Amino acid sequence: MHFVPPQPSQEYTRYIGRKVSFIIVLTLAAAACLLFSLGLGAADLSVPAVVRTLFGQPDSERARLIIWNIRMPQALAALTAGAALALCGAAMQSVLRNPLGSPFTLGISHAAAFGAALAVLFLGDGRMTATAGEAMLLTQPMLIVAAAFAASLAAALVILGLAQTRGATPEVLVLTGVALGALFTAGTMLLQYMADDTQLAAMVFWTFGDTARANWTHVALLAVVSLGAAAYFMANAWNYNAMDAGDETARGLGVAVNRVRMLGMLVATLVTAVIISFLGIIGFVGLVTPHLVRRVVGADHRYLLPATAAAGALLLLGADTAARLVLAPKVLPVSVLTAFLGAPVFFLLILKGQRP
Amino acid sequence: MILDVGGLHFSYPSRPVLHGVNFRVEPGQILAVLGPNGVGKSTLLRCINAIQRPSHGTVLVDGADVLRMKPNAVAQNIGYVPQRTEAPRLTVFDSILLGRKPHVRWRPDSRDLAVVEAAIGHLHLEGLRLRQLDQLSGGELQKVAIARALVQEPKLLLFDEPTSALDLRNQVEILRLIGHVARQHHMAVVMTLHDLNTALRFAHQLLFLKDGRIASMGPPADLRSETVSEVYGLPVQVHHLNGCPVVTPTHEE
Repeated sequence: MHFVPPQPSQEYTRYIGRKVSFIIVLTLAAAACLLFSLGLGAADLSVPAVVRTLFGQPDSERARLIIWNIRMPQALAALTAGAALALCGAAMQSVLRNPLGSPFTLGISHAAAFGAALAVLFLGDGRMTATAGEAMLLTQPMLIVAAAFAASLAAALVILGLAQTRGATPEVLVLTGVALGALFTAGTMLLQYMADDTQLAAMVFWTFGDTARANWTHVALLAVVSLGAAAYFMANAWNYNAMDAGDETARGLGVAVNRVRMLGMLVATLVTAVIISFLGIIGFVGLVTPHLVRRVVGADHRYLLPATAAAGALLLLGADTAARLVLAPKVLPVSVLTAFLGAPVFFLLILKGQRP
Repeated sequence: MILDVGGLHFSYPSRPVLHGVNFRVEPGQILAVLGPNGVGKSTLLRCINAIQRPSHGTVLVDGADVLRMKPNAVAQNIGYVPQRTEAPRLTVFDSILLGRKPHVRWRPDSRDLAVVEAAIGHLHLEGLRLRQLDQLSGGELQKVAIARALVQEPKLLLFDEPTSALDLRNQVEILRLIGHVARQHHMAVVMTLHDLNTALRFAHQLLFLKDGRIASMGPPADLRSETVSEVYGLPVQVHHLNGCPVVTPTHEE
């Protein structure tokens, strides 16, 4: 078919322009939040002081240490984890054609908690020490991290394996996830019952997702994994748009639907497993952020994905900062706050008649 | 010759569907695939664009073997409008732009946008450009799905029940448009239809499927009541109304 090409409409160009501006605004807001967050804490630093420190002109050696060794890794972990969790949620909601798609609906986080509990109980890891800030620290947490990661990977493999034999339909994936979540929760309960006081405390404590656990090595690893996933999801933005129009339509447009669905799940679960293993369980960011952003930019994944990443980063860093403020000088793990924030936001979306 | 289907066999694990289907479609022509429910009309369409793999047979589009193509190459040659499409929160423009996906490498260029604009003009969707899909009526949504298939710039268009959700006026409008586009751009069209009389009015060739084989194929003017009675297992009469054949079931006394 050969059309005489007219000009694309101004209307459409402006419409796209608005979406791009929204993404830019979100990104700037996240950057501003970063500066603000770096200044907050037991030792208050002004934003100019933070900026001077970032550009190599610290007011004091102490300021340099606080920012670069303590606050920066935590803030960057919040930014990357927020962006990655939100991205994974958006991608899963699309490939599963289900508004409840998120790493948490699929039992990945339950599996991680089970793995961590197993490590605490049987590998004798995770004696806890209380620090001056009354934050609890697990000693030698690497075994726990490894166990949590292995368990979430096992959950992901079961989901993908079942999908491979029974067909990668959204129903199969979601039902498998729900069943796995229940199974791992039961397993964790059993382990908790068998544990002594300190072990029980360590198990429960591990599940509180907390960005303060991150050091520079964690941040680097999180960043590499998240960037890779972001690139993969962005390259598939058109495929996700096509699949939103129905599997048959997508196939007609040349999309290998089952492969895109399986790979999307695989990438999302892997990234989530990495994040949860290092930081613990941080709920609702992955579930709620895509829904919030979809209200503004629509379901076009070419814009939804970057906007969701920026919003997720902003949301988790904002929540993390707030969690350090609300009960100051005590510090709240960010997951407690996201859970509190997430539920009402979700109710609001339902009441406002958001079509998933 | 745009489409040449030869010796097509297809079976589901539980039952065979098509055995040995052969037919051809010329450029600019509309072929209507007819037959009772469950006879394999949709399966035939899905075999033609390789969504389902036939066990034997060939499908040639413009001389090229579809069954050996990569999915993206199939989508460059064949546009497909399935029976059901979802309505995600996407604008009409972006939904149609999706049809350019098989041709776009990284991001759509100005020609892609222009082709979409042209299709919007063709289907009179100008006023709905930035409307979200979930706010459209059934007829408008169907037009968007057709526009999406058109901007693929395919050689062959497949429609599965393109008019089942539409009122009389939209049916006529959309089928006229499909005929017009096929002629103008020398595309071949294969569509499944339930309504015999619609097929008689708009198709150039009728293909009746029965028990996985072609029971009859020919132009509407040659349709005999015996063929229809045999395929559907129901006595019918073929009348001629203003030079157009019309099928009605025979009254049972």
